[in-house]
Amino acid sequence: MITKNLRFPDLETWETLAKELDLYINYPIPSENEGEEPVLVDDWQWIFQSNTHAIDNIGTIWNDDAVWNEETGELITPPTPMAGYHVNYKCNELPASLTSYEVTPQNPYRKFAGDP
Amino acid sequence: MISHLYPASTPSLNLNFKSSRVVDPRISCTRNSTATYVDPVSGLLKTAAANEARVDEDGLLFEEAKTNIFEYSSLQNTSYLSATGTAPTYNYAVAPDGTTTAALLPAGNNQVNKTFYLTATQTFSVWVKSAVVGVHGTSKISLSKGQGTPEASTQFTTTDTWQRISVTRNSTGSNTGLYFQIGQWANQDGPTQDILFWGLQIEENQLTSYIPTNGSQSQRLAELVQITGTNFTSWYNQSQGTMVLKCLQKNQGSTFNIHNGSNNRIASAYGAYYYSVVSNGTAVSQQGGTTKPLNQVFKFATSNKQDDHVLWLNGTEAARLTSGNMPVGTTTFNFFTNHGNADPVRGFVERMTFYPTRVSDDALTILTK
Repeated sequence: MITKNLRFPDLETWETLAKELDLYINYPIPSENEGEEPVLVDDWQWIFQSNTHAIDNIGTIWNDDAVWNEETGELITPPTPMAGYHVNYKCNELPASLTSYEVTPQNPYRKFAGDP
Repeated sequence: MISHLYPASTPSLNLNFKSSRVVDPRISCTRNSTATYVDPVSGLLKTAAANEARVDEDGLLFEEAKTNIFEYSSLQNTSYLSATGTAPTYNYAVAPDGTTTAALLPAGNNQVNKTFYLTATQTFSVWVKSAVVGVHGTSKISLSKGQGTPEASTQFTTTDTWQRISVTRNSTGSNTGLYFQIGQWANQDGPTQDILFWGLQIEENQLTSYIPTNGSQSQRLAELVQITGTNFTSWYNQSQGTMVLKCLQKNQGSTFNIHNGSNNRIASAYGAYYYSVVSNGTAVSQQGGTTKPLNQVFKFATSNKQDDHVLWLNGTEAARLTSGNMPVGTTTFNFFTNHGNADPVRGFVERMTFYPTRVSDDALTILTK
């Protein structure tokens, strides 16, 4: 498998695509209201990995430009966010619906352990 | 004499991970990243390949996904850390992984540090050892918001063997500077003798196994450990049976899940539920009861047949369901995750045993004491 670095406009876009790919699935679970008979209720879960894929939802990546008071630790200027919602996706072949979101950073912010 | 209380049947599965120190070949593991563990025989830090289950001195090891945000964990970049006082000497001694990458922090008012922009609860860990055999130094590792007074510290004394120490700072509620240091603060707590350090890790929440990095953050994925297919059906009895586990959990969640991937399962916990049996989508369950202990070894058993399902914890009854059919066509035993392979529990399993009968309640008391 190979790791692809993906950048989506936002989390919602990624969630929508992930549902279509069965990477974000509803597993109904018994309700937990004490004294009531349990009924099955929605519970959306990420399928973070399988035999054919792995997902790391990194989210926002921050630039290394924060400024803070070194003595007190108080933040003077917060770091600026890089655009988009970032995901590492390990797979044998990137699904067609995700190819337009692939980016190729020179120095990836994060890797899966053991990746070159 | 209590021998007559033991189950009359012979176990069809009996795996002792702690004493055998091996992973039974019927067990499959999905983890699409490498992971480390301390080899129970050599004591060295080893790397398990992707999809290789880990057994350490405690048993079969389970962890959730975690990320080490320290980008040069074995100090490959000698300018990555800042230092005050006498700078460390890099690539000075043999590290826990057998490479000559451990650094020397000399005795005196010396320290190394770095600041990150973070929120959430964070744990900082590092391996330390005496630089000279028999000459043991004392110092501190600390976490703080800035370079002011440390908010959380762990004092340590080095020994002649590598030890991993850690310190945790609770969430600040908003992103801020996380400043960590090894050594002195305000001319106090610098190493009293030369010490070696290596293997730095900063991760969210509680300490987990070491995650090597080299130039970027690195994520170790969770392990999904199962016995499935004929490796499961060869010993499992669909009509009745008793599963006994000796294990330790570091967070609440499913200890086991016997299931068919959808609407048939026996589960020890799911959210607040303690015990549930689902047969063709019809569930019987019991919530509440005794909470499984965290961070201590416990014995746990489920014994099942039609309209007779019980859960035993440490020698006492924890749940009883007097109705409910047996699940149909179960194919898989999940360790420490739910039937959706989610919500992984951190901990280990020392031993698992399956009897192909619903054993007596007296036997369950004995088996789980």
